Parts: sequence; structure tokens; C-alpha cells
Amino acid sequence: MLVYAFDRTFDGLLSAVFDAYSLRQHPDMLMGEGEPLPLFCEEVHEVTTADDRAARVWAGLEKRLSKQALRMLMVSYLSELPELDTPLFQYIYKVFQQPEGRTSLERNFSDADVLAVTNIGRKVIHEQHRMLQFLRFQKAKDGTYLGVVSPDHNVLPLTVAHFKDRFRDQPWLIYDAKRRYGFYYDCQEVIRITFQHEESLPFDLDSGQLNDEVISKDDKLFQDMWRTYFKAICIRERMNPRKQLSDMPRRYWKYMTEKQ
Amino acid sequence: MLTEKTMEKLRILAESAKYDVSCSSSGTVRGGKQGMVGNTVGGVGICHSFADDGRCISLLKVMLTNYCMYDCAYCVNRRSNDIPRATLAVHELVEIVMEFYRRNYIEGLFLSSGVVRNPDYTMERLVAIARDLRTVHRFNGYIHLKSIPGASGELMSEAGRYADRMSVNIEIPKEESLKLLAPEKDHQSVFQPMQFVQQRVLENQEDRKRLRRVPRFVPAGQSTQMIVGATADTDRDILHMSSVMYSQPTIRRVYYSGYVSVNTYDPRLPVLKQPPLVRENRLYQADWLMRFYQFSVEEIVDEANANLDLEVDPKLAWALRHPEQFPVDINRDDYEKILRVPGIGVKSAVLIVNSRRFNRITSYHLKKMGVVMKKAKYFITCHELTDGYANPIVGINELHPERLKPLLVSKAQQKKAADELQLNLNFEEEPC
Ligand code: SF4
Repeated sequence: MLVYAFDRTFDGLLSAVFDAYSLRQHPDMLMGEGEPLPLFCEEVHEVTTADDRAARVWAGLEKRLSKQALRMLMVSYLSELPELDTPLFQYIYKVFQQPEGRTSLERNFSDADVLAVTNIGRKVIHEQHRMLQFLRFQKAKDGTYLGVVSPDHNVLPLTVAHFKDRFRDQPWLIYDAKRRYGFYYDCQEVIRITFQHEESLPFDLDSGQLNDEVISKDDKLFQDMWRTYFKAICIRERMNPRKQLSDMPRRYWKYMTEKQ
Repeated sequence: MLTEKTMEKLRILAESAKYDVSCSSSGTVRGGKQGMVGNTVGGVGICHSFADDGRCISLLKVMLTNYCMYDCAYCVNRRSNDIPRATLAVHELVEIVMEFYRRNYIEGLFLSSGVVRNPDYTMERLVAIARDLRTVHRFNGYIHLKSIPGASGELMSEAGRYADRMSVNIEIPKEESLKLLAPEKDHQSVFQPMQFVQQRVLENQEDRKRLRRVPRFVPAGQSTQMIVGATADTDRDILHMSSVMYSQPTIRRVYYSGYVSVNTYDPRLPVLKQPPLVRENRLYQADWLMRFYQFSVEEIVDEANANLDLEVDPKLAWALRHPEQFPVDINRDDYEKILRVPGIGVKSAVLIVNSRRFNRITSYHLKKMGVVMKKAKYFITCHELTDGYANPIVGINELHPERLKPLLVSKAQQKKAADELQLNLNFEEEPC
């Protein structure tokens, strides 16, 4: 068995495809550097991530795949799931095996690798949608709206366009508490941010709540109002906690105003 | 500046609005605009939360006032009920909507109202809210307004310029049942505002073809709702009404609301311990079949089967009544036929017809594509000798529908259906 080890970046994965073709090899498996090797591993090749090689592979993909399929590759990568590495690699590898001018592989869902990548991509898109549903903002004194989330997959980048379009006249900060980074919008543009000193965060990482000194005066009232509404709108004769949980899994409740 | 008092009003008016089940923010795609707040995403909209009853919370669903001069038997807000009453001021509601929206709690507003003084007075207040939101607060999110039967054309036209969707509820599918429960109403009073809005939407579409800058009129179309289980009307009555509705170009959704016994003292109404939720769910499934699976009403319910089978979903029920349509050949038959196989949904049907051009599809692939093989295996063939577990394949025609059905209904489903039937029996003994 031939294994390629890579740094688990997207460019690293594309570089692995480059290596496979230039070395005329077809690895059976792709895995992160430093991970324990499988039992029957005979040979390991260490992939060196190289931007220019990755770019060449990507350019090749752009010629052979539709826009939607390309997006699906990117999106599936944001899953951060280790079980994606090998199918994503194999999918891309196979794209270059197709005869020129045929773009059919991407729609062949009876191919196990295409199906695996598509299914994982769908999961990511599903969670991206959940961020649009469940993210809650609080208003700070200076007028900035803060929303904290901790998604399973790295979906925050996929939500930026939506929030920018919708809340274009209010400054906001959306923050991924699990991956410790966020996006800040100042009514002009969006920038990616990290905080150097966690003690200086203006909010609590566990509850997502803004600190008392910075929260705006009436925010607590609107939070209470929302909780009041949430309770009032429920029809008690129809209680259905199971449906509630399946549509709004408990792991998202932590930062949701109505569940705090 | 809002206070606790406003919060109490909001509580009362949400309680009063909650039996209207329509909540969706679907049907309009409108990007953000410079100097405005909000957008609408189209598709099925966004559910921002799910209440403890499992229902989606997308819009702020609230009544402007729950005072009402009418006395519809099935409604909590009827004038003869002794409940807390409240009225929100225009500025209060507008502020709540904006503050909720900016915090990503909601997609927008779904506003209805009890009728006070007269229809025009009531409609004017609804319009005032929408006008304020759109023109003063530059709100570009979703607005759903109730049409108040009897309101003037002018007010309705202004409402339609601000609203994404308008609706008026049929509530009861058969006119004589409606007359019994709401003597002050008739179907005409519901159809009239519906027709008016429809007319204006169609004119607007024509105008926009000539002149792109003409603002849109009720771009997300109309919806309506029927109450299920407050009268003796059958599912066939209900679904026929739905089908008439869907033949109208501007009716996008029909909602079904299992009757919650709110006014137990009224002898015209059944006393239900539980709203008929299984039946409601079956109606939604049937509705789905009409909209996305190309089923006609009479295929779903007919004279012999005027009510939906509570034990199995209507698609499976249809299949069990039509063994001659099976088995369907996964590798050869049309998309439409594959879509009719129990256990295969739109998503997997699309995957199947896309993929079978490259490979012969086997039951292994089907499983991977999300087909519910437990059900589907009795209705399909992919020319395999075994079902993947080395059992010979036995289909609906070998087993016969009456022996197959018990294999596909779980004990829990049976019990749920039986319990609900029990409720309906109670109901049929009621004087009505
Ligand atoms: S008119 Fe509407 S609010 Fe008034 S009693 Fe009838 S259903 Fe209820």
C-alpha cells in the first residue's frame, strides 16, 4: 500500500495530486502528517506543499469541472473531516484521467469517491445554513453587533456574504469560538480577525455574552422580549421536543438567546 | 423606548396569533440594497428557531390587536371569549421588528389582526405598520400581511406594494360547515380579497414586462390555511379545495392546522384531547405529492377512500392500491415513475437518473444514494437475483398488498393512528 502524507491544507492536497502525476504513482491513501500509519503501509511519500503546483492543478480542474463541482470541492474541504482526504484526493486524481472535454465524472454518483465528497459537501452546506438560522447578535454600546458560534465544520467563511448583504448598515463581528477567529464588518468591508490576548475579549467565550461594561443599555430588554415571544408562540397541546431537537440540535443552543 | 408593558402586550398578541400555522418566509429573492436593512433569501426561507412544539419560527408572528367584533367558533379571539386583550401601537411593533431583525432573530413580520370597528379601519392599521417599516425604517426583509375581507381596494393595493406575501384563510373547506361555525362569514368573503390580490399581481407582472422599474406587487404570492378536525369535512373535501387553490397562479401554499380545542364550551365543536396531528401530517404529505410528485387529488383520495390512511403515508397508500404499476425498473423507467416508488424521494430520484447513464445501478448504489430500501425493495427491480442480504427478491405482486402493508407499518405508527382514530370517533358522536 502506498500512502501520501500531507499537511492537510487544500494546497497540500492539490500538491499531492501534482506529485502523483509527476511521479507516475497512484497512492491508495492520503493522510495527515504525523498520523499513525495503517498496518499494511509499504511506502510513504511526504508531500511538499507548493503554491505554484497547487495553482496548476486547480487551473486544470477549472477546465474540467463545472462551477458547482468546483465549489463542492472547496466546500467539502471546509468540513475538516479526516475521512474526506482520501476520497477528495481520488476524485481530483480521476478528473485528470478522464478524456479531454468530458466533464461527466462530477455527476456520476455511483462513483464512491464522488458520492463521498458530495455527501460531505452537503453536510457542510447544511451547517452553513444553520449558522444563518441560529446565530444571534447582541448589540454593544458602540453599535457593533456581536454573534458567537462554534460550528462542527469551518463554515464561517461561507456565511460572510449573507450577513454582509443583509446587515449592510450595521457593523458586526461574527466569531468562531472553537477555531478562535472571526470576521469583522465596519459597514465598508469585511476583514478576518483573531484576538491576540484572550483576556481582552469583550465577551465570554462559553456563553457568547457581551461583558456588562460593553453591552448596550436596551439589549437585555430585547433578549427578554425574544425569550418571552419564544415561549408564547408555542402551542402546549402540540409539544414535540423530538422534532425541536432534530431541527435545532442541542449543540447549537449554547449561544442562542432563547435557550439561555 | 420600550418597556415591560410592551413585552406583556407582545406575549398576549403572540399567544393570540399562534394558531395560524403559516410561518414561512419563502418565495421572494431580494438582495440587500444600499441604505436599507435586510434581504430575503427565497427558496424555503430561513427558520430562525424551533419552538418547544417543534414548529419553525421564521417571522415574528403577531396580531396587531386581538380585539375582534366577530365570533368565529373555532377562534380563541372570538368576541365571546374572556381572554386578556391588547393592542400594540404602531411605533411599538415597528421597533420590535427592527430590533429583532437586527439581532438575527427573525426574517421579518407576519402580521394579522382581529377586526375592530370595520374592515377598512383594521386594514389601515396593518398598512400603517408596513408603510412605516418600508419607508421610514428602510426595512427590506420579509413582510406577510393578512388581507382583511371587506377592506377597500385602495388599502389592499397599498398593502400589496409593501408586502411580500398576503393571505386570507379559508379555514373550513365546505361552505355549509363554515356557515355553521362562523355565521358571519362565507367563502365569498375569503375569495374576494384573494381574487383582488391575484388580479393585481397578474397586472403587475404584465407591467413589469414592459417597464422593469415598476415596483413588485406581493412578489411571494398568497397563501391560505384550513383547520383540520373542527368539522366533519373529509380529507377529500380539504384536498379538493387545496387543488382548486393550487390551480390559481398566485396561491403558493396551503397550510393545514390541526384543530386545537380552544373553545370547549361551544357545542358545535368537537372536544379533542389532542389536536389531530397524524392526520395533519398526512395532509401535508398529500399536499407535497400534489405539488412536487405530479399526483392528482383523485389519485390520493377518492370516493372509496375519502380520508387518508393514518397508518401509512399517502404515497405508500397509493402504491399499495396500485400493485399493477410495479415493479419499477430503476435502470430503465422514466423519472416520473421512479419518483412514485415508496422510499425514493426527489433527491435520490435525480441522483438515480443522473448516474445510471454511467453504470448499471444496483441496490448497493441505491442505499448509498439515500433510498429507504426497507420500503423501496418491494416496488423496484434492478435485475438482481437477491436483495443484497442473499434473500431472494419478493415484491408487492408476489406478496400482495394486504400482506405487505403490515410489514411496512411499525407498531408505534399503528398505535399512533389508532389513538387518533379513537379521538375522531369521539368526535363523530358529538352533535354537529
Ligand atoms: S374574524 Fe378572525 S380574529 Fe375574529 S373571531 Fe373570526 S377568526 Fe377570530
